[in-house]
Amino acid sequence: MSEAKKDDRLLSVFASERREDTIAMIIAFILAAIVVVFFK
Amino acid sequence: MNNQKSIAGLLIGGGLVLYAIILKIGYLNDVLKYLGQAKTIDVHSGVALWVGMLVLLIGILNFIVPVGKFKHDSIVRAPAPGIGIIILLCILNRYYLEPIFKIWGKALQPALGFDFATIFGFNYILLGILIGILWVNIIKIPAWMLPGVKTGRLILKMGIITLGAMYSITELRYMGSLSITMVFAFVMGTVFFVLWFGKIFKTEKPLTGVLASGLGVCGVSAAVAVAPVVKARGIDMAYSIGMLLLVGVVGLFVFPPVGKAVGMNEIQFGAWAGTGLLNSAQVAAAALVFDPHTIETLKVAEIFNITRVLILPLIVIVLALWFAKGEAAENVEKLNVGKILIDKFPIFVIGFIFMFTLMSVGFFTPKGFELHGKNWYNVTPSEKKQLKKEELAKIKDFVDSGAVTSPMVKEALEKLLVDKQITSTTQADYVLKAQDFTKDKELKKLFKDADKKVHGKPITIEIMREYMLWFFAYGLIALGMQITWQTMKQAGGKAAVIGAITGFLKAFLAFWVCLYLLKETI
Repeated sequence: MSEAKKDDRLLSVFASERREDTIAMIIAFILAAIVVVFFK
Repeated sequence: MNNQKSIAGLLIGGGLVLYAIILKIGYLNDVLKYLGQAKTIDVHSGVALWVGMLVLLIGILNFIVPVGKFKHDSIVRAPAPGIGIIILLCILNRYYLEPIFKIWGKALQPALGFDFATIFGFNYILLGILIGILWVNIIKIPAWMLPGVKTGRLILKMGIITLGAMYSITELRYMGSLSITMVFAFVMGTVFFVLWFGKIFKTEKPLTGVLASGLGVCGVSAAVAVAPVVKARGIDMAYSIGMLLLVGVVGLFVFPPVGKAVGMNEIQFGAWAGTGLLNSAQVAAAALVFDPHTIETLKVAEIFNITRVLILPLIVIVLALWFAKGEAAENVEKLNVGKILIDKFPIFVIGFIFMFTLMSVGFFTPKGFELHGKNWYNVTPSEKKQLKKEELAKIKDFVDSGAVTSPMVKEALEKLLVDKQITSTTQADYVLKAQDFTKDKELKKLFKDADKKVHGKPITIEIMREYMLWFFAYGLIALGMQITWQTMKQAGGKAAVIGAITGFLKAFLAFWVCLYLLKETI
């Protein structure tokens, strides 16, 4: 296991990086949608 | 942490709510006014209040029921106290520390001869990482705070996805073909050079990736944007940022005297600074040092700098593919490289590209607003945007005098006299061009003001930018908290060698290209 992969577990609260990416996308787009709905 | 009752969340949440109340009552108004942050009170008290209440509620629950009892405790209840602390540090960083450094930089400018805060890049990005580093090494990270610190990378990714909304394809339309070609060649050249160099030096891939982006595109922000793509650790970021700032500062002091010595003109020097220097602030500073009286050099340098920044989305994709390919190569037992590439590609980059696409098709742009060049315009008629009677009279005299030889400029000014304000972005361009037909400073300012009156950034973009700044401020503090003295001792030298050699080569090549190939136009 590479250093980066070992560090991975210390760097995230999520079990996998893909899950972290997905959650980041969901939150970012929900926030963007709120902006469009209420301020556009 | 698990199966323990904790009072941390309760105290930190309470502290944030208390801070929001103190802000709302107005106890800190004078301090914030002095720091130039009076306008931010609403936003930052809002963040403190909402995050504070959330952390407080979870804190109460954590105090009553041990963390770890419920299924999603590790991602919901456990991080709350740490999140609260980092938000507090973000507030300290963005609304107190960064403005203080700005003030100090200006105050010491007469003595030092330069604004150290701008030159050395003491902004919230650098300060955030420094806060994190100091915290982990001096105060240490207690167990209750660790899960919160681990949310840093998630938030940083959210920042990068949101960053996608700060770019638009329309901006690229207004860049000169030469600046695009030259900048593209230099950015790509530098990125691939660093990747190759990293391979020769056997540098770890995350460090190489961050350095490639930072040295190729625009310094610290590019390095930050690429960090999660190449799975960079805090220590990779710290070294890259340190290196980028150092190379940039050396360049800043070397560029202007060299440019003067070889007799570069404004366009040559502007292009050289905009291509060869790394950091946006340093580009502007070098251009102003070279030519403090007119802003011609600055304008050219900024065109090159902006073009370079606009290539960032492409670099993010290139480095994501490069990193995923490397990861795929590690798994030699699996034969389908294409599939592994898809598996390893950081999907949040797709979010970034999607956000960029949404911005480019005008999804975030409210009616009446238009992005033209690098400015936002709102040309819908309104009294506020109209010029005063005496201003219009001055323009009328100027038009009647026959000084304007361009029919397009004349037509734009005549339309301005009728409508009392600029009504289209094309007209704005011609009104600005009218400056070339007069030497009267007041009149020149009048044309600029007429243009400025129809400038206006949409609130949607402002909010998205605010989101992004918070995400970056948060992510970088958390990232800094993963850098201990020990890890710093272990790594280092290679970043310095790669940075110094690449920085020098890029500046040197750009110098020759600008001096011998660039003529009067861009």
